Amino acid sequence: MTETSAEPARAPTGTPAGAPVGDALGRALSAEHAAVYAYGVIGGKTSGALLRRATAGFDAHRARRDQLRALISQRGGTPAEPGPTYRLPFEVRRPADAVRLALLVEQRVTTAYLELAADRDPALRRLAALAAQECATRAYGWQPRIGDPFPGMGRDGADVDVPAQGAESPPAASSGPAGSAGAPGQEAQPEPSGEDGQ
Amino acid sequence: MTRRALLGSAAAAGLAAAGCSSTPEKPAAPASPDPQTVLLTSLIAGKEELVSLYGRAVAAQPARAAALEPFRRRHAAHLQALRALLPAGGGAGTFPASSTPPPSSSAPPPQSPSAASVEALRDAERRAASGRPAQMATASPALSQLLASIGACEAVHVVALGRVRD
Repeated sequence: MTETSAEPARAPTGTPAGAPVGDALGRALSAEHAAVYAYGVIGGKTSGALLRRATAGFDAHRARRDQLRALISQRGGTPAEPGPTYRLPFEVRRPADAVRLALLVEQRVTTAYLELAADRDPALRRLAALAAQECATRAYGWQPRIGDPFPGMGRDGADVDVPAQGAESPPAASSGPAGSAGAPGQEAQPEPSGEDGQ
Repeated sequence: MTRRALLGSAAAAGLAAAGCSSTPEKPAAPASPDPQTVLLTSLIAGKEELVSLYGRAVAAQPARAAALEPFRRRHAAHLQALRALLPAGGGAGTFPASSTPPPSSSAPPPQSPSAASVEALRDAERRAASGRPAQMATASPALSQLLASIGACEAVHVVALGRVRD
């Protein structure tokens, strides 16, 4: 539901500590992993002001990712590693594609934080609230347009001008009905991201 | 055991006495209604205030009506979503829709000449957004999620209103 692109092996049962560490926390981390990856791609296709925006987004998501990792560890869980590969919902060739991807990423991460906002732990709720506000604000920075009064709720796909694929792109490359640039979900490179110095 | 209890109650008594002497009013709600309803009522009042603030801004600056209307509409959507969470029968549903002063932090400042400016709207949005995390602490899971989303919208409004100014 909240996964961004593909999350190949998220080890469904791989967390030794099991369920105690909220699933929502884990899914938020997965969303941030994907966001960090995507922002690496976005940064690679932009320049100037857009690149600065991409870099800021990359840094912000990486910081949140690290924070979530630490929280999961503190709670006795094992933070998931980024997937070995992420499938982008469409091919990112030009800056306009990069902007579109950034919007999609922010929308999905916002959704993941909304899920976390229902956690029992008030500290996690707080984190979720703040992070969701940041994501929505960043999305507005990429495209100054407000569609949905409920960011991240996914009440409609109108948050983002993403054609066809709207929300979840099916993992199977069903050669996108709208064939965005004729390149349905490409397999991204195996490395999580060149810039993501982990 | 007894001694500790004694000490404890003495201390408590002292505290209570000190507290009582300085605070005449206690959060004593006679037949305390459901806390979620109380919270929701306060949130709804805060939202109503925001909606009406937009109404005043448009009235004061008709030239901005078109620019501000989408903002007001989104708040109206929030309001509707919040109201939808109120229990149907409204066990404590005797709250006058808009005249209850919201006890929470989302209460806008008293009306003043500047209350209708875009800058005032921005301030109100900022206050609303930054108050959400605390309100979420005691909210039901569903309400907490809704508030997170509403807060995100309000945070965007803060930025977006920057383009409406001047």
